[in-house]
Amino acid sequence: MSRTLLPFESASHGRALYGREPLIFHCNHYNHHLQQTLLLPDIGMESVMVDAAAAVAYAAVKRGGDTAEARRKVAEDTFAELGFGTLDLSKAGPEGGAVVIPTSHYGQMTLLARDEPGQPFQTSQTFFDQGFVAGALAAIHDLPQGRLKAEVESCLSTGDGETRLRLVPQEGAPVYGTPGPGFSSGAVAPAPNDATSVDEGNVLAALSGLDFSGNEEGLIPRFGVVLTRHFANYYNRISFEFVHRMGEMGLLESAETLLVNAGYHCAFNTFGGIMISPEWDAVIRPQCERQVDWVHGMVATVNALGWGTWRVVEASDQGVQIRIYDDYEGRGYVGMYGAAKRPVSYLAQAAVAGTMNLIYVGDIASKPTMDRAYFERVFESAGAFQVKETASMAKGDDYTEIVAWR
Amino acid sequence: MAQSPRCMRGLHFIYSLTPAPPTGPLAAALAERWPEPMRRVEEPWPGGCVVRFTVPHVLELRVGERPGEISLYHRSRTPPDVRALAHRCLAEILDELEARDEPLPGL
Repeated sequence: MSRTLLPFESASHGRALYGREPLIFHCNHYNHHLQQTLLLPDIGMESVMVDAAAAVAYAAVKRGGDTAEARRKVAEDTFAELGFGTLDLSKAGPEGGAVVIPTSHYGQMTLLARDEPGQPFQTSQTFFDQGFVAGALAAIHDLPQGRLKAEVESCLSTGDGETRLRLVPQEGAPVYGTPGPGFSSGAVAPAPNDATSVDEGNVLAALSGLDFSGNEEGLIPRFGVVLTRHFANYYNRISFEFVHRMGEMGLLESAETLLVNAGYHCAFNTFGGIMISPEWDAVIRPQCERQVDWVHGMVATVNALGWGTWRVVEASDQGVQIRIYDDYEGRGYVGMYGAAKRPVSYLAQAAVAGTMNLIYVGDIASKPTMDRAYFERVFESAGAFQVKETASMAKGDDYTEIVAWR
Repeated sequence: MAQSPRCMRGLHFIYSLTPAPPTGPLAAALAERWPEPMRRVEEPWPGGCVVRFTVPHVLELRVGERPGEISLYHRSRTPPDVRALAHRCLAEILDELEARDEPLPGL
């Protein structure tokens, strides 16, 4: 399986850049729940998701070579490598045309994350794919960003056998830019907390040997979930636009709460999946001597996800204080909108609380069944951890700090 | 054999065998019975390696993630009859390996 890809660049604090775009790992559960959160009526987030995907695809594929053929190969292979699925862009030209997507993370794998797994959606959920294809084709054919629009003719997410998009020209459509790597405070993370038996360097070295590339269907089944190695600026744009739009309707705090809640599904499924996975049993569990070492082990694992560098300041069964250097939400927010007035690291808040809930409320070490009842026990019980963002790089602090307590 | 209780519903199954099946005879048996070529990739893990056998666009087997376990992943577009064939084929092979008189080398 030979793919033509852009170079993957390592950046500070464990970040990875692809075509100057930061990449982060997220799973199908988060992608599903985030998307469903954003699709509240009357906010118009459908087009935001499409246009945000187009922006990152356009930025990356523009770097894919000097010829249209070279850029097409990079676009198709990038889609597969990063876990989005497979697509054929060969039948579409600068005037548009048909694009077939036989396999798709958003088209198929989000179905598995539904409360009734596998049940098709009533309406197409393929916003990311639409945007990626439209942005990539514009870049392939040297068109201005936003010149092509992808209309859905059939969709895997509604039960069709494949997704078929029809690309048509359009004029004057608004486009998003992308800040690329975004903003950094310049602060440097200290060494990992040494009050643990977990050796972060050892964890990162072990995880770096695993294959996180998309298989021949362009999908990444790992840790009991289906991963994407996704564009951070896609998540950032759709999350922050949601907050801004809800804020204009007087619903700012509701929007923030909803994004944290969507993040709980990420924590529950991805972190929970990691902590009951064979990979965890092989790499991290043998290093854990006490329950609190599980917190350090999870933090060491997070530092392989491209989310910035997490450092445990203090941890116990009653709470945790974590500082994040170059958190992807903070970097993206400032890069897109300038300094924030309020904390913006919604996913990080959910991830920290989720880690504590899984370890101390849900006793994840006992390998429970990861079902709806367990989710409710872990996240919705009276003993669940509360969480607050007490420092924010997006607001001007050196780092982002999250505190969870009960 | 158990279906993964998590999000991979219908796509991921775990077979257990004690002791762990040796990858050499397993690979040979799979290659003999499966009509399409199978790729073999070794992935380094702490204390050993995981062997991944893949029939492109059909299935993937991971051996060595946990002692005595083989993970079978169907690909998303694999039709039901081919999934059933994969289960039958793997179950038969594991039964045969388990029934052998001589001790099996480990992974």
